[in-house]
Amino acid sequence: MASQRTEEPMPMDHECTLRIKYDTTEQAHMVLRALSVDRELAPERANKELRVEGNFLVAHFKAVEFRLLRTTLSAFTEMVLLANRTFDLATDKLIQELQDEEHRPTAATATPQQKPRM
Amino acid sequence: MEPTPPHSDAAPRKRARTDGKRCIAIGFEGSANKVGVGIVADDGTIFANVRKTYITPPGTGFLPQETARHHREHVLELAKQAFKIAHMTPNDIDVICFTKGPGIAAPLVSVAVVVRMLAQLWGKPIVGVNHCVAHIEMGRVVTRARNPVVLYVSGGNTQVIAFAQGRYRIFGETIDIAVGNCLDRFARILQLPNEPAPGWQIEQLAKQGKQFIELPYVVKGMDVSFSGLLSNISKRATEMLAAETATKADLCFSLQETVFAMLVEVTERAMAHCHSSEVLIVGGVACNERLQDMMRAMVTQRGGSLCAMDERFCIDNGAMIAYTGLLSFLQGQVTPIEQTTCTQRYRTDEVPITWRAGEVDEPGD
Repeated sequence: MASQRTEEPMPMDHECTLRIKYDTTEQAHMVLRALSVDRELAPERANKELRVEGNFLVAHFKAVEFRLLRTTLSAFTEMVLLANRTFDLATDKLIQELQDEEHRPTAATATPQQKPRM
Repeated sequence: MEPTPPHSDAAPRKRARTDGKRCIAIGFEGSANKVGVGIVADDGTIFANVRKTYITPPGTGFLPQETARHHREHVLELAKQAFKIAHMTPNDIDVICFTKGPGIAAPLVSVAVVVRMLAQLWGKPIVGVNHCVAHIEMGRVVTRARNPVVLYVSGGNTQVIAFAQGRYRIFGETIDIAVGNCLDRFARILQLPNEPAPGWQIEQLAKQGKQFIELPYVVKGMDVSFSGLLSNISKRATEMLAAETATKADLCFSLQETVFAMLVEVTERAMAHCHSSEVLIVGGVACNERLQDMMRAMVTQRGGSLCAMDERFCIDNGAMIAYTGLLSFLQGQVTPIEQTTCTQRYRTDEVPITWRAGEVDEPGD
């Protein structure tokens, strides 16, 4: 199976482009850096190119079959959604949220600074 | 929002905080069906260690994509919880650590994406951590074991390890499936619940076992094998349960006695080889009290001591990743964001244990 693929590369006829808008170009760059680290499992069958245009993260996908394009796209969108949600943990936002929690009467009581000993 | 500063790993320089404060790390773990976040200091103090386990219905195991989805759903909430429990904010953190491998790719990558984002958002360096080394270091710091022979037993790994010449060397290991995988899969055959853990269910049932059923005992030199044993008991279980010649409890008891005896045998040989008197058991299976009792009996006979922990630190957790990453970080090591890839295969002995570089090799001194 693998040998058939390497003989002649199949044409990547199926393409699509996603444009994802962010508040700032820095945010788009952050997501680009976080998502361009991992290699595609079979780059000769499906791959993606990422770039930033203004406030947009632009992702261009290519695949040898339509089904593969869909799965690559779907895996990528899951990761984008996850990366987007991490903006809620930006320092200022998180500190604010932690402080709000602290001031609530039902704030969880914790026992930090404990050294575990068995 | 500062992007991650560029790092050079050319000439690592040892780090220490100049303000006299302890170095603090946050660690993210997600190599299997648990996702965890821990916050620790360089002296081993654990400020927070929260985790969530992906539990599937009885008779089923966890699959990569579903597990990754579970981790994506919970990882951010766990991070918030960790800060809350630790009474800290991202400003208190010096370094962000994550599991680079070994483990299952999809869940590993999901957690790594979060770590890469947070490193940029918080302007903190990243350290990639070997999951197996993290189990060992967590065990050492919690039990105060100095230089033990380590039995690392979990759903994905089974290794007998000792420190020699700057690395954790593998003296013996499974040649097929991990012991935890063998137990988990047998639990599936018996349709036992996966909550809180399939191995825990087997351990409880085994306590009521009355009859020992002889099973294949497969030790090959320093290595062990569980896959043939699992096939054997799986096939016979169906027949014996139908004919009522054995109960589920008898089967669980016999399985535990057999596989644990194999593990104790190779661990004893490693102790003799290394002239060591300390044994540390780590990994998810390490919280099995029957395994601890059998190991303790062997170690005591040799005049040694057993170091074991409970499920908070045995089972995959974020604190072990944070602590081990911190040990590396203090030696000047960081992982540039472009190198924060995950790897399914990452052997324990691939990692130079720089923080123990000055130590004498011989265990048990």
